[in-house]
Amino acid sequence: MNQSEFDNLLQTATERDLTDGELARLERWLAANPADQAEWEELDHLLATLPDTPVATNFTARVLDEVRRAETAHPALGQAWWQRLLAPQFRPVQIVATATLAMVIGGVGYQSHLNQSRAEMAAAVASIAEFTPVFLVDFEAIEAVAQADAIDEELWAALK
Amino acid sequence: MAKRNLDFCGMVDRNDPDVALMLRVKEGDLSAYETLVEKFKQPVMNLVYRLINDIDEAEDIAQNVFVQVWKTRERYEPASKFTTWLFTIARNLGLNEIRRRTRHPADSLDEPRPDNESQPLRVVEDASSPIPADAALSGELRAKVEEALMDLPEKQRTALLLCREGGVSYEEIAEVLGGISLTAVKSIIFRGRAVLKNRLKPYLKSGEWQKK
Repeated sequence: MNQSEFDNLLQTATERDLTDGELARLERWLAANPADQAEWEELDHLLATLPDTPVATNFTARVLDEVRRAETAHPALGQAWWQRLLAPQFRPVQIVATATLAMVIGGVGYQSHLNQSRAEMAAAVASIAEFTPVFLVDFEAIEAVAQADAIDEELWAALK
Repeated sequence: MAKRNLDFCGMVDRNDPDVALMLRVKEGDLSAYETLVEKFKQPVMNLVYRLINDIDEAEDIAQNVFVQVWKTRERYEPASKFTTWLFTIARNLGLNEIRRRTRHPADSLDEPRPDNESQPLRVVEDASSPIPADAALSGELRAKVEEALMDLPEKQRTALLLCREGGVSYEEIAEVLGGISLTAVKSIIFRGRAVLKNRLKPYLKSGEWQKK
């Protein structure tokens, strides 16, 4: 790389991010050219000598006040999350959670009761089925007679 | 030398006492917390102020950074340096403020303050000593550097400011900037420097200054 390529790369750097390869070429160039390196370091020096932003003398005291106030408002901060949920400020949450739990337990119990009733009914039907009368065996044939075609009147008269 | 300048912003301290302090804070130790606030209030203020360019708002946000450190202390894991965590919180709160100002440009100056505060709002030491001529000159140069820095895009500015604080590695800057790659960090820093150099060069040569 020569000086004009270096300058071009600097210009490119103001317009877009450089690639790995371009950064490596810049590093090599700076390592080999103390004048450019010095210019670069001067910029770093300028940044380093920027004055610190003034900080209020009561900064720390104000932060500690804020933290103590937050601790007073939420004394359970150091406890586990489930312990914090037992605090009085979560009373509505506790009520809703208890009601939801009661509904879930009630629902599960009722469903279990229904399942049990169905099982009992199925057992009863099965026991009745064992005593089915014999005539019910021909039920389908008898049912089919009603659905048969209209009687052939001529044949009927001949048979008489 | 060039390698050092491109790869690191400063030395990385491997025996990090800040992590030990923060682990004490995690257990609820207020004196350790106070030590951390005292130690890092300046770098946090430097970063936040140069992010949002408003000294009063910067102080409120910087205080909020430390309050957040306390409130979220239980979530702290010493997987990375304490400063990485701290500067990430500072940057996020600074960005929130920038977004808020973008949405509500008029309401930053007249927000009501909490009326139950026992501390006065802001007490700054008197610095009104006479300024020598050469100091005034370098003061003017600093003002130009400051202005050029403020005109940089946020990521370039934050990366250069973290470099300026010293002891912040490229890996840490990558984390603070949202987990970007090392190449991206190098490129962002190089780009920021190149833009600053271009902007300041005419001023340093002939005193010519172009407003952005």
